[in-house]
Amino acid sequence: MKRLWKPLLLIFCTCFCACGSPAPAPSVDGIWIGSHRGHFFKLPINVLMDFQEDGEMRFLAQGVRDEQLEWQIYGDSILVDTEMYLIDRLTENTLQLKSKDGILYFYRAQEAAAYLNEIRIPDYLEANWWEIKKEAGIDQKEEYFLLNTFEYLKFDNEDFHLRRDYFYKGNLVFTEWEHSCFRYEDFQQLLFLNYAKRAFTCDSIYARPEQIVELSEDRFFTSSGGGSAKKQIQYNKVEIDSTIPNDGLLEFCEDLLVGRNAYRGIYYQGRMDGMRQELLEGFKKETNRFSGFITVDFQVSCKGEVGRFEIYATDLKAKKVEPESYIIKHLINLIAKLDNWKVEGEETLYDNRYSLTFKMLEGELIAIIR
Amino acid sequence: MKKIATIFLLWLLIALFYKAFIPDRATSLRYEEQKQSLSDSEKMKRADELVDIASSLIHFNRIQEAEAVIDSAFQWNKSTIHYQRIGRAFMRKGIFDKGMDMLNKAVEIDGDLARDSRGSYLMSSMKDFENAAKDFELFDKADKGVSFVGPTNVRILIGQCYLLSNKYEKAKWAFDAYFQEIGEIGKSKIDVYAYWYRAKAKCSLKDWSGALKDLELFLDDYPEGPEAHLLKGEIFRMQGLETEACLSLQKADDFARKGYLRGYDFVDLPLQVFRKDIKRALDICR
Repeated sequence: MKRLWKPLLLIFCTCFCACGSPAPAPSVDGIWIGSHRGHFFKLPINVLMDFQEDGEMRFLAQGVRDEQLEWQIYGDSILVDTEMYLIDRLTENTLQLKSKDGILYFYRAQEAAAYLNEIRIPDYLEANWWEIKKEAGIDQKEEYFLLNTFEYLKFDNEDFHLRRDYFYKGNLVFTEWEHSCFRYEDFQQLLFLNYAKRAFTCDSIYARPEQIVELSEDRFFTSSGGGSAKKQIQYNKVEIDSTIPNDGLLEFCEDLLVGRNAYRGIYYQGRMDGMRQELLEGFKKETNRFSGFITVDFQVSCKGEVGRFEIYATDLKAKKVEPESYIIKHLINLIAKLDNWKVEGEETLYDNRYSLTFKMLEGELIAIIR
Repeated sequence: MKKIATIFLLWLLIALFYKAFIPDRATSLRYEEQKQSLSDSEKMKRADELVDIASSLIHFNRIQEAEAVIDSAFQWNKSTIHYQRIGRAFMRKGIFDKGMDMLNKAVEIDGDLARDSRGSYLMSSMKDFENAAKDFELFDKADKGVSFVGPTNVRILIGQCYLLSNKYEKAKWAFDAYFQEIGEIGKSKIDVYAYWYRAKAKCSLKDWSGALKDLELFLDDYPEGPEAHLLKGEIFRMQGLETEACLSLQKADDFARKGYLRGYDFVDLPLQVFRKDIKRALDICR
């Protein structure tokens, strides 16, 4: 018996460690930031939900069109009108809902530092220009795109202006300005910046909520989503001597869905042929001796403004290349100058996405391919 | 020493006992295990869904995420069709290096039968008509019976490629081969625009009467086709028949105005006729 006490102690310790005391059951109450991965739009979109103690739920901000639906918790499932979501996973910080058509991921909002509730945040925000620095590994520029983008934000009441500088091989090739709206919101003392997805109407229902988690005079941090969809953005104070232009500002109607309704609502006068003719007439060969393909991807707002450029290039044998700066700058400026965008009908709420590929041989533009 | 061995054995037994009766949920969900339990069609379905997502991500320029999804899709199923679908998404976006990699892999797996997709994008996206024609010819040989790439007979595509690379004799030969093959099935299946393309090839070879004959065959089936009236007008003009030329060009303009011009919003057709081409030709009549 004496010999066995050590192994028995070992068994007891193992069982004790394995079982332990049960973790407290996690509660669903509170503010959750989530991502939709619906069947119709298989990309994560941020959503902000208030799950209340009585089982009621309230959308605070979201990116899909079902804000009118009734949500109710019943046992281990959540009923959204006629659709049933099962609670697939619930921990202290993660709530995963599953339906036959998709999964909703929710992450509990971070607890705000006490000092944030004691300072006048809008005063801090509106006093400066802020450079947007995205967290390493998330939202980094794709290696396939040739342009490097720097974005600067200026808050003013409920508007924000975003200056976007495009760099290529270290040279500034283009600057554009975007205007939209935001709301500073305080949900149960959790502080959010709600960026409107519709600049056109400043509609905050279709918003991208970012929780402010840190703020000082020189920088602030926001956090949104969770898990693989988690985004943390750092805003650094910068000195910018720049005047916000009065016109030519990009204002997207519903940038959340850009591309989904491509070629609807807004078109170029003369359609593709008209666009091609203007580009061919405006193209200047100059010293350029490039042979290959340059694809310019861009978005056209519902108001007919062009921006949000991405560029990739390959040679004639489809190997990635980096053409000279001149040609990249020239192509972006040519496309930005296209100003004969027309709205189908009286108005449209659709923005569009276009990709044009320029095929060049020894600097001569031989085809514009769509 | 004996004591240590006993303790180790007991520890091992406890661990096995724990593992057997309290399985780790995460382990049971591990996809390697799922992979073994799923049927081939279920794996294919999962891969299909992921390829759909990857294609959307490519469209939205989210390439890194798309590549992660593609990796997952290929864990479930790696087949020609998936390489082709991802390749198409990249090609449509203008990311030709990635697109061609995918389309080349499809050809490595499935041989000449997978050359249809690659040929199609060499032709439409890269305007590399010579290599596209090679792919189409090898696909035609490998694919028994009447072969199609999408909705189009492959011999028409071969003819168009030769026409666009200024090899008119070869183009005419390809269209002849098309009419011979399709004639065996039934003339009702003929794509009238094949007459128009052959007429273009014949025009370039200065075979005016042959071209006009083809255009008449076109107009027998499709009298409102503005493209045929335009080409007829151009041929008459080259023959010095101004009145006939202007009559045909006027018809081309009338039908184009009524909306009979062939075209898509998303892609250009080979040698597509636009209204400005008709207007320019008609200007000389005014």
